Amino acid sequence: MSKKIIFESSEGESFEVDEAVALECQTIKNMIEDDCTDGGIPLANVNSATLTKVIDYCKKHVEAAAAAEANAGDKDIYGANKDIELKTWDEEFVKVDQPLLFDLMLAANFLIIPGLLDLTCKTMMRGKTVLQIREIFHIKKDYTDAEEAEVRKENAWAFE
Amino acid sequence: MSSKPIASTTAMKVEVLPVLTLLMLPEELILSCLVRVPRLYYPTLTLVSKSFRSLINSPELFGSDIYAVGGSIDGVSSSSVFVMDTHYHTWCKAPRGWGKLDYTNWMEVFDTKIRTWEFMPSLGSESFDYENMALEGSIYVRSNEKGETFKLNKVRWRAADLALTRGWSYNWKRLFCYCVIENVLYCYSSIDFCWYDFIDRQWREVKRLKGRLPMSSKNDHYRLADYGGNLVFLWEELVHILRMFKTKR
Repeated sequence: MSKKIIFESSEGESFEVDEAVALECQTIKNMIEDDCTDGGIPLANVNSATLTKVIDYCKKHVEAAAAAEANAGDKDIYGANKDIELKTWDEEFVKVDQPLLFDLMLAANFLIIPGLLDLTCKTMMRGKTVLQIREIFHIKKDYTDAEEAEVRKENAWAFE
Repeated sequence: MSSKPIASTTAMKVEVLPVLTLLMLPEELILSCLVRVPRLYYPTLTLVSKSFRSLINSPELFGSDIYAVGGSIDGVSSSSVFVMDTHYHTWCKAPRGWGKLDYTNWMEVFDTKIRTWEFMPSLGSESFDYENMALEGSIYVRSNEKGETFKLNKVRWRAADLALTRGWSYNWKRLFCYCVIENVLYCYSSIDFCWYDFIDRQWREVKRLKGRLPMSSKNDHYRLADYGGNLVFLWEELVHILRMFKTKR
């Protein structure tokens, strides 16, 4: 039986995962290598909802990597295997509400999961208006109307 | 032994909490998001806030200038050098080279930092018909007159690998296109798509692309470009519109 790692969310809820799944997170990998995962890993800045998603992501990618290895000979005519399916899965995975996406990005950054970080960062600003971006990133508009007009003028070539 | 895990988990909490309470992202994370947005949208994004604007204009996002050396402007040939500032999309004139040229001094190098020209050791004889590229820290020049390739390394010109010269053909009618990405030289022609292996000194086929590229000898309008480490393939294609009619029986 594979070794298990226990994560503890900010709410104190425990999540048991296979070591292989936990190894997807560079931060955890370092901790496992340093042998400091006994008694669980408290993640004070990751809530249960986010952690559930993160574990889903890691599980899926571990499975996909294993499947790709098992079917290494079974490639399509372009030499790709299953990689389209995984991409579709990823796209579905980030179809979540904005706060959760934001939390996922923070978690991916903190736990160092390069694939998830790339995925969430890519999705974060896609198709958003200036107003929505202010809202998502908790940014206050600090331009006066005159200043805003000046910025618009500066970039007039792009707004035409 | 037992104190180790406690110490490390405590450190983790202390390190991360301030980010959460401020409800703000570390700058590097916003940059990570921004680099994944097509540059086309950057002007719009500058409207978000002042800090956003300075992030967008920061050298972390933009690093390079675009140089236009010589060429023709409105049909008149020019020896001017122009530099485009990619922050503000403005062109400015850079100092011109072309000091006193003669048969032994006809190659100059432009220092992009201090914006000055300096002569560099020229190839033995004058040549006006050549191709060049920079690869693995060296400059390669192919003389189309001689059909030879030279490599500038440590201020001396040497003959380059024969195999490299063979694949770097005389670019008649621009039927070949070349592109260097992360120190790998790629060559595309209507027949094949290869890369040069400097270790084995031979051209190798780029695999897994068969049937995916426009391999047509009729089409010579293509270019290769380096787009942030990805190879971008640009080509022109004539589209024939076929009208199909269904006949009723």
